[in-house]
Amino acid sequence: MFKKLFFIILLLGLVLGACTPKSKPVEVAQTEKSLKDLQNGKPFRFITNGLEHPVIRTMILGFVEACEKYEVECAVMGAGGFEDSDYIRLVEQSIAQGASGIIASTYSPFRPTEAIAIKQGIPVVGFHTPMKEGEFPGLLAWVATDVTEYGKATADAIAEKTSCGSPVAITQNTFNDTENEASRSFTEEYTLKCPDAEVLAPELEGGDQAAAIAKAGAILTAHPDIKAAYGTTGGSPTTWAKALEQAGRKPGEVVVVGMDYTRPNLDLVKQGWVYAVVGQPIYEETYKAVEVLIANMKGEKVDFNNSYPSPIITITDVDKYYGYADRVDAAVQEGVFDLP
Amino acid sequence: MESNRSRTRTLKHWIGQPSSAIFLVFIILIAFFQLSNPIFLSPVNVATMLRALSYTGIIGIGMATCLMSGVLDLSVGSTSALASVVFGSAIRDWGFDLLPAIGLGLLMGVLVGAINSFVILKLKITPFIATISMMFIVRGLANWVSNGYNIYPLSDQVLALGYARPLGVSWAFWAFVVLAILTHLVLQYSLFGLLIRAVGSDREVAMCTEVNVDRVNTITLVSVSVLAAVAGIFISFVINAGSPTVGSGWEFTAITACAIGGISLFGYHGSIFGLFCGLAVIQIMQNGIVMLGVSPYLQNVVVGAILIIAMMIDVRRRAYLDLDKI
Repeated sequence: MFKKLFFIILLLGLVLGACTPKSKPVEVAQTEKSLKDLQNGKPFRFITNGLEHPVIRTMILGFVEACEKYEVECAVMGAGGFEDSDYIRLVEQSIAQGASGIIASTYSPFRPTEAIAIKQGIPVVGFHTPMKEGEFPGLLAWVATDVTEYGKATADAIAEKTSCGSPVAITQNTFNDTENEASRSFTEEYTLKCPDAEVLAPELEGGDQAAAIAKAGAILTAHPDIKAAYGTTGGSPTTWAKALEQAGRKPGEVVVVGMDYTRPNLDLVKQGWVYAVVGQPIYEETYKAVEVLIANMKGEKVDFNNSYPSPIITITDVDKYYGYADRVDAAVQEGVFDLP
Repeated sequence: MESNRSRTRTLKHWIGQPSSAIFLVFIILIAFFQLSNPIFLSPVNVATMLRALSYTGIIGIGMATCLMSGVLDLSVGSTSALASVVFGSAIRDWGFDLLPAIGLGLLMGVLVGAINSFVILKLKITPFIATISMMFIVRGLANWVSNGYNIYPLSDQVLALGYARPLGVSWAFWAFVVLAILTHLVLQYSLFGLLIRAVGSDREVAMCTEVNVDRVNTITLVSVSVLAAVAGIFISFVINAGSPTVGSGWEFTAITACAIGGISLFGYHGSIFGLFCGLAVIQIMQNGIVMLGVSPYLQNVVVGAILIIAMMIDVRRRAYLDLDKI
C-alpha cells in the first residue's frame, strides 16, 4: 500500500514536471548560467568606505540593482568612515577572496594595491574620478562625472546668479583628488569669467558637522561681504545653511552651491538657503561599472572613458531628484545595505 | 621692601593656579587676533565661537571630573552619536513627544556610563582599553539603530529649538554655562568634590580612609556619558536630524581642552575655569587662523605649535614654583 502511494506520487511528479513550460526559464537559466560560469564563482566586488554616507548608499544601490538586473554574482566590500587604510585593506581582501572584477576608487593612494589585482588578471574599473589614458596602467575603464566640467558649470551658475559677485568662498571635506580638482576648475573658470572677482583659497570643513558650521561661521566673519559659497562635499549645504542662519543672514543672501541630491540638501534648496546642488551621477556610475565588467567578461570591447554629466539642480527641478532619495530610503528598509 | 614681598607673593599665588598659563595664552590670543582683525570680537563672531565650543564643552565638564577622579572616557563621541540617533528615531519613527525622546536619549548615556563603570571597576579593565572598546561598540550601535543613515527630518519643534538664540547664543551654550557653574560649585565646595580629588590623587589611600572609590568613579563615568548624550541631543536640534556620525573626534577635543586647561591626566589637579580656558583657546585658534587667512594646509601646524607653546609656558610655571619636586 505504502509503495503504491509512493509510486503514484512519483508518477504525478514526473507528469507535472513534463508539463511545466520550459522555454523561458531555460533561456533565463542558460543566460544566468553563462554569465555566472564566466564569473567562475568569483563575484564582482564593489569596494567602498563611508558606508554611512547617503551618497555611498546611492552608489551601492546602483551596483546592487545592476547586479540584480544582469543576474551576476556581486559583493559589496564596505567599511565605515573614510580611512585610507581601511580601503586598502578591503582591496587586499577582495584579491585574497577572489573576484571576477573590481569596481574601486582610483584615488592615488589606493592604486598600488589595485595594481596587484590588475597583475593577477582581475579587471578593475574606477569610479567617481576621471582618469587619463595611461595614468593608471592596466585600468580597464573609468565611470565618473567630469569633475572639471561640473566645477566650471558651478562657477558659471554662481557667476550668473550673483552677476560676478565677490568674494566667493570654497570649502572641502578633505584635500582629495576629486575635491581639489572641483575647487581648482571652479576657481579657474570663475576668475576667467569674472576677472575682478576674488575666489578665496579652499578651506577644510571636515566631516564633523559642529566643527564644519563653526569653520563656515569663521569664514563669514572674516569676509562679511561674501557673495557666494561653493562646497565641494555633500555636507556643505547643511554647513553653509546653518552657518548663515546662525550669523543672522537671510535665505538667498549668500548664494550657496553644494554637492549631491540627498534629502536634507534638496530640502535646503526648497527652503532657499541653498541655491543649487551639483547632481553627481552617483547611481549611474556604479550601475554602468557593472555593465562595463560584464561586457569585458563577454569579450566585448569596452570604452576606457565613461563620462556622465552632473546637472546643477536648482529649485526649478528639485522635485524629480526626491525620487532617488525615496529609493535609497526604501532600500534601507529592505536591508540592501545590511552587509554581512 | 614689604610691598615688594607682597607683590611677589601675589604673583606666586597667581602663577600657582593650574590654569594661569592657559589663561595667559587665552588673553594673548584674543589680543593678537583682535588687533589683526577688529571683527574678531564682534558679537556675531563671539557668539559663533561660543556656540561651537558648547558641545565639546558639555562633554569636557564630564571629562574633567573623570580625569580628576583618575579615570578616562574615550567613548563620549560615540555616546553622543547614539543619543542623537535614539532621540531622532524616537521623534520621527517611534512617535515620541519631545521630552520623552530627550529622556530616551539621556537614558543611552546612563546605560553607556553604567557599562563603562562595570567593565572598568568590576572587570578591572583599564579605562583606556575599556572605553576605546566601548567607542567602537557604541558607534556600531548608533549605525545599527539608524541603519547608518541620518534620521531626518525630525520635527518643527526640534527645528525651532535649533534656531533659537537665547541671549544671542544657543541653548547648548547656556546649558554648558549652567553645568559648568554647578560642577565648579560641586568640585570646590562640596564633600563629593573633595572625594573626586581624593580618589584621583591616590586611589589606595582613599580606599584606606573608607572612601567608596567605586561609587565616586561610577558617578563620574555615568555623568560624562550623560553629558555626552546631552551634547548629542543639542547638535540634533541644530541639524534637525539624528546622525550616527556626530561626535567624531569630540573625545580628543575634550581631553585636549582639559590637558591644556591644566587638568591633570593623572588625577586630582584641575578646575572648570581651566577647562573653559582650554576650550576657548582651541576655538579662538580655529576661528582666528581662518580670519588671518592662514593657508588651510598650515592651519593644523599653527594650532599644534600654539598648543606646544601653551604647554611650554605651563612647564616654565611649574619649574618656577618647583611643583615637579612636590
